[in-house]
Amino acid sequence: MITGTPKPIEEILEMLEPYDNIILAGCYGCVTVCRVGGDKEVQVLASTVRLAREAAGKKIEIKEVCLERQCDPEYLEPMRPYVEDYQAVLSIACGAGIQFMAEKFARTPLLPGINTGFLGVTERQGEWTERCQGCGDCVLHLTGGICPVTRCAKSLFHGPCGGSVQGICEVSKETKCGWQLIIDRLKALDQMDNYGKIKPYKGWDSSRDGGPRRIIREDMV
Amino acid sequence: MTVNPMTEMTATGAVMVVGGGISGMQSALDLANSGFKVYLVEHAPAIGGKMAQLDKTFPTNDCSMCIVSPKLVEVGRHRNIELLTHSDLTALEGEAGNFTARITQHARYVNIDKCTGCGLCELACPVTQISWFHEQTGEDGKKKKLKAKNKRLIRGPSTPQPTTLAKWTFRVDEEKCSRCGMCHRACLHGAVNWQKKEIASIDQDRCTGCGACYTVCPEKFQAITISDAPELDKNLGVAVRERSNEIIKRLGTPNQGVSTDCIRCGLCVLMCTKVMGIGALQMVEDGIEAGLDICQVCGACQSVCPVTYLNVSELTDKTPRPLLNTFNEGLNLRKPINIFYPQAVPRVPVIDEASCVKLNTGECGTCQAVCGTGAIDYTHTVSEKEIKVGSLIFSPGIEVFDASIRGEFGYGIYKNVVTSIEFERLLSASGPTSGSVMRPGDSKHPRKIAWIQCVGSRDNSCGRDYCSSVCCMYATKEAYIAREHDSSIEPTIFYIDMRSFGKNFDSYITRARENNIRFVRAMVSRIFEDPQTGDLELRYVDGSGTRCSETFEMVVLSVGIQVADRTRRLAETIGIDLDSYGFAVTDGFTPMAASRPGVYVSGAFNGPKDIPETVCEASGAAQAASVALAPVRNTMLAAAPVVHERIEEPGDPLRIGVFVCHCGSNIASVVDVETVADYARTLPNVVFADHPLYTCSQDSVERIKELINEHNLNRVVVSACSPSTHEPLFMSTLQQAGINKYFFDMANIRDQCSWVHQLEPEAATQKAKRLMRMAVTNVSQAKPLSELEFDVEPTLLVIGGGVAGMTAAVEAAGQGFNVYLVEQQPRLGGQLVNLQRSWDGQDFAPFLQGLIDRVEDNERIRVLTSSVVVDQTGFIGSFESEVMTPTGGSRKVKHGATLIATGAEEYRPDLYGLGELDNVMSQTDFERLLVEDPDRAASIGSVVMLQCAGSRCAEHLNYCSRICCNQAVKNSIGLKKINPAARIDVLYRDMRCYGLTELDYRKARKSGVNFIRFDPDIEAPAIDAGSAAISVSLTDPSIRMKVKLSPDLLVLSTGIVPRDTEELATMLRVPRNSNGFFIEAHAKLRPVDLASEGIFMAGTAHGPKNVTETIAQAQAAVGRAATILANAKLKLSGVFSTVNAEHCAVCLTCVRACPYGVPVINEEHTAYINPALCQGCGICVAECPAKTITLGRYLDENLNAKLEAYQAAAYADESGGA
Repeated sequence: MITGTPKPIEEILEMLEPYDNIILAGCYGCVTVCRVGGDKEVQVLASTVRLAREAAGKKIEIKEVCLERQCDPEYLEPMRPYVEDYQAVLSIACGAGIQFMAEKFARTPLLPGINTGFLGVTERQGEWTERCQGCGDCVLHLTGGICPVTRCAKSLFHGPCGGSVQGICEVSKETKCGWQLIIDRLKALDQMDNYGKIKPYKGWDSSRDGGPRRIIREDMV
Repeated sequence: MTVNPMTEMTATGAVMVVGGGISGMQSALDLANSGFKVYLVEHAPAIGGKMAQLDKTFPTNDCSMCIVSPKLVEVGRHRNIELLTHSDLTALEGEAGNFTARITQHARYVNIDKCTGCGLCELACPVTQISWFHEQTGEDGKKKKLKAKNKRLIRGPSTPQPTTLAKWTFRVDEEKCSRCGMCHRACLHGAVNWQKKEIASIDQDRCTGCGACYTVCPEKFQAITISDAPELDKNLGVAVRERSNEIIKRLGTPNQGVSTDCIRCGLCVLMCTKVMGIGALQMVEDGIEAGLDICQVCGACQSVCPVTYLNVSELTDKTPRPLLNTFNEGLNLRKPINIFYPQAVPRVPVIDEASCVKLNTGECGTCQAVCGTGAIDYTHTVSEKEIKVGSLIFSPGIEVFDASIRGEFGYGIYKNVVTSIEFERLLSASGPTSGSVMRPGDSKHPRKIAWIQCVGSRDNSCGRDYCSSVCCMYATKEAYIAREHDSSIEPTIFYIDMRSFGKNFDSYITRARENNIRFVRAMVSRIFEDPQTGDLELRYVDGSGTRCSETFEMVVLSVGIQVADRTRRLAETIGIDLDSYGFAVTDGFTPMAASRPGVYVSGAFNGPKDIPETVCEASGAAQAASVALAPVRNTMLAAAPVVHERIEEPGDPLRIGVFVCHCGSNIASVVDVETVADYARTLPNVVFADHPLYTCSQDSVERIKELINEHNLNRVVVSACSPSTHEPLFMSTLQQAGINKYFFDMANIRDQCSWVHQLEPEAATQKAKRLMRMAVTNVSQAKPLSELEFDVEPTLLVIGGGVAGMTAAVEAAGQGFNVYLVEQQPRLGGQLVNLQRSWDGQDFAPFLQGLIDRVEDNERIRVLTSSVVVDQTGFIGSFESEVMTPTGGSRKVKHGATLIATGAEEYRPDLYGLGELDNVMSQTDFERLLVEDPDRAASIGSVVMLQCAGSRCAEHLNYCSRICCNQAVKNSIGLKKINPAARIDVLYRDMRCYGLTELDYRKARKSGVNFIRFDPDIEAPAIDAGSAAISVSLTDPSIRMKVKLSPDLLVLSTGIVPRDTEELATMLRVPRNSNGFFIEAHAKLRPVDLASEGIFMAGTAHGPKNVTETIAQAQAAVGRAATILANAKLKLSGVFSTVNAEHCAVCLTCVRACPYGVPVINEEHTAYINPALCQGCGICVAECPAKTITLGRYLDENLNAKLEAYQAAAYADESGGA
């Protein structure tokens, strides 16, 4: 799931300063699940903005919508008939959704209402942690199901660096050493032979290093 | 199966419960809900008992009143419970099944059926003291006038400053005037013109309205008339109070305690002379002249004085006797007419015969005059009645120890030494200080407060050898809450052993320590008061043997609990045996049965205990008291009237009726209810509006039903008080009139309007209009919700065939229900098979065999051994479970309730060679050795018992197993019996021999068992165990020296662990705590219920406990289950959450947020909430990020409509429209 955090209301109000009628668009996808951009957040944020603007003596009209997903063109289309009646769209979907909407409605300014986070999992209600960087070349079968690219702060491939002290990464006390986790797991699985295997250089071209990526599934298109 | 002689239809299907505390209330509710008529007899004017007096409850810090008041209301409203408050049981004749109880109902002087509990009488009553009533009737039978011989002039700082605020008009009635001139002489302002033999007249320009003329005008002429006096039509007393209030209102807040000048309003003189008929006060030039010898010291003058000029102690030559509020432990005053406490049920006052002026002299009568429903009746007398019942539950509760017996603590002499129950009242928001922690001596906020434990507990010197069980926890709670009220408070608790033996108690103590509560293990020897400051010096010896002295600003004595003398006498009347301390005598295997058949006991009277154990016993006693009456279940119930609901056709016009309540003058004195009702009629679709004096009174409710039919109303709004207390009443009124009960809404114009805006009547009226308008808008779009009715399967599924499960099975079968008893093992018995003797010395083996026989011989019980419950579907009243049988096949069983009794086993840690060495064993092993191999036992010369071996520590079990201390004491005594010369050293952290088991602890010490305390944080005992020898060394704090022990045997008290129930818990969707014990639905008031309705638990699956407690819990669980299984049909609530699958993101938020574990993700990949399981709390609705869950009556539309109605009204008000 893509995670995110709400932008501070001050920042949002600053963004909205020039406008007095906008659309506030949420998304029923990932951001609903991680509680930053669903219908409830749309309503809460809209009320907050209205109250703040009313208090400042500068009323704002907000149309509240929540789309099934902002990352699929079909779901964006229903907005087309009225999107230009408004001066701007404040989207609280992830960065992908916001950009896609900006692309589809090129004449309307798009404003981000959240800071998009990472591909992560729910540890418990209200806590998410990162698991995958989308490097495009998965090695989890060799590392006990723990990703060295994401979980090691340096994305090392052959064991921990000297900054690993008692299982904790030097980056922060909150961060466990990814390689310590991998080794512990490999030991538990009796797969320590995987640890000794020399991995050839990783092709980072399938990751961000190759520039913006594209997937084409010939079987589907 | 043996036939019980009482199972004939001759028994009476009713039970009497004596004692209306939490125990009696729980018993009454469980019985009434399982088909028995209940008579609940309570000595006090209202039910509630000790729990109602407490501020918070441990270990959850829940507000005591908040959790008990719904029970109060439920008991008060229950159709099958007849409340007999202010009453006593005076005789019990007959025998089990057919008792005749004689009840004496004391005179209340207030008619319960007419009283609405508005409290006006209490406000109006001017009396604050216990009077010294005069014999005023002369020999001729006529009332003689009192003449003062001893007078005193009461002066203010300067001369009186006459006022004309809220002035009454006094005139002379020319026809009645006798021309005597008394009025002329009495007037201090020269306002009365009179000349000899002429009729007097009053110069209104000079008159200040003090009424001196009126008070002196001879009774036989009554020539002075009063006009312009509000409320005078009621009586003079009410009018005086009214003017006093009006003057206070206009003067602003009076300066409490500051002496002021007399304003010569004359109210005190009017009160004394004309209302009380005394005439001890007289207005004079320099102030007020008081007749000290004739003053009856009722305090009425002082209570109507608007400026705190008078003080009753200066007006008399006697010592005033203030009328103390017993509910607040005498910390503040009350009136002779008094509602026991604000949330009392019944909320009906009682008039105290000792202090009421009307009842003693015939004067006053103010309360009757002010009462709007005519509920006050001074002619009440004591009445007696006989009631037939089948059995009786005696739950009289306890009182606290009289701390003045422990003279060294100065209670009763030092003002700042209080008892713990007094401190509860000081903490309580509805207590005498409104929850502000103040010391009684000088109202200062204390910083350093000490608690002294075991005052009247564990004390042979005052005949209280037992442990009161609750004080360690309540003292910690009080310290904790005191710091919550005022974080500058520094609490210190002086204690002997920290007996935090209950579930989650130790972690509460840990939290308390982290919250800067200091615990000192020392007994305070004496307290000295500094008379200058009121501070208190405590002397004690600390752990190192140093004599210490420390000064505190306040001391709280943690007083123990004891059985009241009145209770002992009552027990004698009932004819049941008590032990020497007054606690009920019961058998360990039938813990609630008293010595007289058919009489059952529960609560702290059955041995000291806390609230959850009391509630548990109460349900158990209800079960025990009703099992023999099962054949006559449902024979004495009041039939519920059946009314068919009118079905609304689409297009039917809305016809709304609005009732705006006066609530006596609670609302009407501030809000103009007539205007609000007029305004209601202007609202769309409102076809009827009225403003009853008390909308909730019996006659008003009947009238509403008539009006609904007369005006063909289909929606009703009541603007009155709080829906939390009154909505059920009005909803059932609607139902009885044939309207869907959800076509109703309430506007709270009392608590949220008239009470908080007393000084702004106009604005309050506007607000009341708006609140009412919101409710009208809301009902306008209300939808009828239906409550589905279904058949209940009268079968109990019991999981676990140990003592809890088997007891429950036998009891449930006795109640007439079918039972499936599923046991994982091939045979019944559970952990008890491994144990030998109970704590009270009884052999388990014959008991266990007897129990197994009763289970196996009972045709209602189907035993499934070597079987496991693998699946459960359905809901309360109608479950279906799949049971895997030994053949590998599965069978489905239908049942209405489920009982988890999966039990626990002894913990066997890898410690000191346990299980490997022959000379190291657990307490259970040792107990077996004592019974099975007495020869070996006799040869043991020395034993060391290590307590908390693997308990209360992070590496092993981080909880207290509750039973090990008693097990060690029991086994020590057992060994001493076999071999009196054996040396036994028990190494302990805190000896947790709670309740009456303290007596055994004392016995063990007296028989020579050594108890050596250790603190693992300072020094754990060093133990070296080998097959050849064991050596133990530690420091003995009592001699402050190292000791070395070389015992023959090391016995480990290892504690108990629950059996593995992970799969079961997941399957049943019921929560367990981190230790694997099931979590009760409510730590205090639902101790055997699980959060999922219809699922219960009993025994050690809930937490460590002994066999007696397990049996009590098993009976309690059956008692609770009977409230479901005894119904032929049940109804589901109409208010439940619904998921609209369209937008469900399957995010699991609702699944995680629901406290009842109801939402699931179903096969259609959407969240699903089973309406039968939903409790209607609305948490999922608020949390759902997609806003795709809705809850019955509480839709966004409802709230938005209400808000819009509020705003619309505001705009209309601004334009002057409303």
